[in-house]
Amino acid sequence: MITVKGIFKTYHVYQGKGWKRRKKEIHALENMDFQVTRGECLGYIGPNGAGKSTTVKILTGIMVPDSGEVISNGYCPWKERKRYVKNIGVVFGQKTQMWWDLPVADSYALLGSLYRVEPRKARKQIDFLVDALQLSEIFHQPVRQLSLGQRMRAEVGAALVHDPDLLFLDEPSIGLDVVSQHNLQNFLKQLNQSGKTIFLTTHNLKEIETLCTRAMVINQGKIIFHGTIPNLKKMTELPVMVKVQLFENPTPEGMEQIRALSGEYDREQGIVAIPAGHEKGVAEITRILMHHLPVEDLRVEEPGIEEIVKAIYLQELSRNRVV
Amino acid sequence: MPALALMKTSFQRNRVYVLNHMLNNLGSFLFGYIIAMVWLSLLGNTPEGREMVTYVMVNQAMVGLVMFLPRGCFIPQKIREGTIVFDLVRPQNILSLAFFEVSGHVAYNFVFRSLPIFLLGFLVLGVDFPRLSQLFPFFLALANGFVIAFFLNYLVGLWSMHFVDFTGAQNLYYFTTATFSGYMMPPEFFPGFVRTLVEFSPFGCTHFWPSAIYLGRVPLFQALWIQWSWIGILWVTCWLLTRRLVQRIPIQGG
Amino acid sequence: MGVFLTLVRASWRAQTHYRFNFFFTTVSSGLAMFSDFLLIWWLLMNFPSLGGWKLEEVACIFGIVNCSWGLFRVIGVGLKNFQEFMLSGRFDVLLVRPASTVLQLLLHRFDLKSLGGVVQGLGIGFVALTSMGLLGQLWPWFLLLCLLGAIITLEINIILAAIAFWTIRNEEIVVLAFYATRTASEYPAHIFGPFLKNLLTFAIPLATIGYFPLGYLLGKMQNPVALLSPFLAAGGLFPISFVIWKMGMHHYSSTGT
Repeated sequence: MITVKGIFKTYHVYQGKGWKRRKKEIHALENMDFQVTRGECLGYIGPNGAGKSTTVKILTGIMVPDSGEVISNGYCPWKERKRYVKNIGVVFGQKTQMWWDLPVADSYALLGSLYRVEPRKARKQIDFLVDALQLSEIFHQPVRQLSLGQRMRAEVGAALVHDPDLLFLDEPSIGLDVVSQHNLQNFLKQLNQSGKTIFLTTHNLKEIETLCTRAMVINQGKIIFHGTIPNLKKMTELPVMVKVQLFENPTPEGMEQIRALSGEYDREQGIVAIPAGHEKGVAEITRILMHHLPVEDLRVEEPGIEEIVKAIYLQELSRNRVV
Repeated sequence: MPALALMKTSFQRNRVYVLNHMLNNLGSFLFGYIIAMVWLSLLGNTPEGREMVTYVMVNQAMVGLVMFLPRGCFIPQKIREGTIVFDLVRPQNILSLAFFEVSGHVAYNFVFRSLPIFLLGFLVLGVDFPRLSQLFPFFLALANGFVIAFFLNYLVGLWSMHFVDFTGAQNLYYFTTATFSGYMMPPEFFPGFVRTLVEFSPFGCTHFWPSAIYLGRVPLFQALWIQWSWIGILWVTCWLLTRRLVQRIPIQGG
Repeated sequence: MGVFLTLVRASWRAQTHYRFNFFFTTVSSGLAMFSDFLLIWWLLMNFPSLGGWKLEEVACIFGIVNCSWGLFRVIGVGLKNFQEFMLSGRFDVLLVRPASTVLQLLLHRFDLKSLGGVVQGLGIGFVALTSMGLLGQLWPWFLLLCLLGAIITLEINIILAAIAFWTIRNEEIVVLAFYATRTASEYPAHIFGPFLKNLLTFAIPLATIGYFPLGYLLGKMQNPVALLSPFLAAGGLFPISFVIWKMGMHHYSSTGT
């Protein structure tokens, strides 16, 4: 569906003030290669400023790379832009493509005409979207009156009025509560199963786990991982952390226990962090801590995107050194 | 029909604020009234004086069509909010999207701003109706005037694509159009070379030529060749600049 | 005074950060303002006088009105865009601070670009006075009238901003009741007929900024009340604007919109 070969993109940023400002080059993307197969849902992860948005902008024909080739759905996005965009749908998390003062219905009608969808087909598709995204109550309300969750649902629908085969979703669940996230994910899963190809950028690891079979990790303009989700997890093997808030400093005996579990104590915040490993699981660690420490609060943290990326990045570095 | 749908949406967006606009029309009428009274004071209640009252009020009714268009044709706002990305993934180009969006806005202005202001002018100041034979030429010249005003405002939008802050360009647009469009007085009252500027610049095409035709002062073909020349020049300029600038639009948030 | 200087310095730095842009914006906004005068100037060059006022005399009114308008705008951006404050809820932020809301609005930001308007108004007025040979005699009056005019402009804008406490949106009312009348006050008020002239004298007393006092100083009116009118307007509007603002605040905080 999408083939990307040797994409480079460099920005020029001006630093300093007034007349003395200096031009600085930022390599947003360096020699990027990857493929997305038809019907796949690919999760695209990376820290802020890694080049995620740049990739999406190039793939949607908004931006032109300095060099390299992209063939997406049979077209080069920036050379055959008009023909290409007819069959893609785009959601950009915090921006709305609907008209603020108008009902959702009007925005959908306009989008239908912009993409020259045949009226009968448009009506059918809109009926489907209203039903699948539960838009019936809000369909005739002005967009500005919608809650964030409602708006996001309508937003995803807006990208689908012309029933595109290829979907680019940039942080579609940003700012949503857990229930709305869950509903949205169910809908996207349905779409994917009905044969749509989805390119999903997100910060939400859970979302990737539920929706995607494969993921791609980018850091500083380079792809540092591209493979299945189990492989991604296996590759990093980051421990789940047990974190405990204390209401007073631990006794020397308590400190002993922390050290024995190879944990750390942050004296200023009063937080103990213990990695859950193969020898001792979360339950066992919890039991030891509750017994020996003045515990006020306890939580279990899964590794976040930033940590995973960092781990992969460090792994990459050490492997290169060995070779 | 994407064009019609865009116009319709843009039209409806305004209808939400129709009451505010009616109040605004009173203010707008007052601006015209002030200039009309200046003319009556200068020329007295003579045929010449009354002709100028009509000239001024017709121009005042037209400001929402050929002078005060949405700033930079909505482009600066879209750049600031980052929603310009959605225009870039549509199967149309930015120039035509902007044109039909602004057209809908102006169609609204015609019904809910121009007509009420004109009506007030007729009721309060006794503005003359045009001769029936001038009606079609007037609306043709007015439509051309709108297209030229669109391109001028679009240039401000293009400026914001490059520099983000567009206040300077907007000011410059306001200065040139307010000074040289002839909305307050026809060219013969301008000093020497400025007269030529009003007659032959794109600014005069927006206000002076349509209202001169309304008064039946000039033949249509004279206005048409000047207006159509400018439409051609501006169209090509805007089209070329759009092609150059679109690929380097600063996109907020990413 | 220390706070004041810090604020001015911060505004200056923020606004001059991009020097080219600052320069271009300032020059172009000066031009945009100048277009009003340019048109009056070119128009009146064709005629001996406007309602008995020569070009230079009209230019004097124009100078005072625009100089005071510019002075007001340097500190009055917050009041000028009060609707924005109401719509965005930023006004509530001012309410929780232990200082007068009007004062906070005024000190919110100094719009230094408006100084261009002040300079322009002064320039036009002084050139006009010079060409009539009255500069030496009238310049103190001219400066005093600019200052009084700024106060009157401020008071009227406080009243108009207070309307937003009831209506939230007040932009259209400001356009009608201030921008249009301000433009009218650039001309000798008697050319507009009795209704608008009375409106500009008693209801929205913008004619007292330039028209009446200059009428006396230039020997067109004999009644000394004409010269005193800006003092009366500024003094009279003060309690009115104060009370209306207080009422508005009361309404706003009791309805809690």
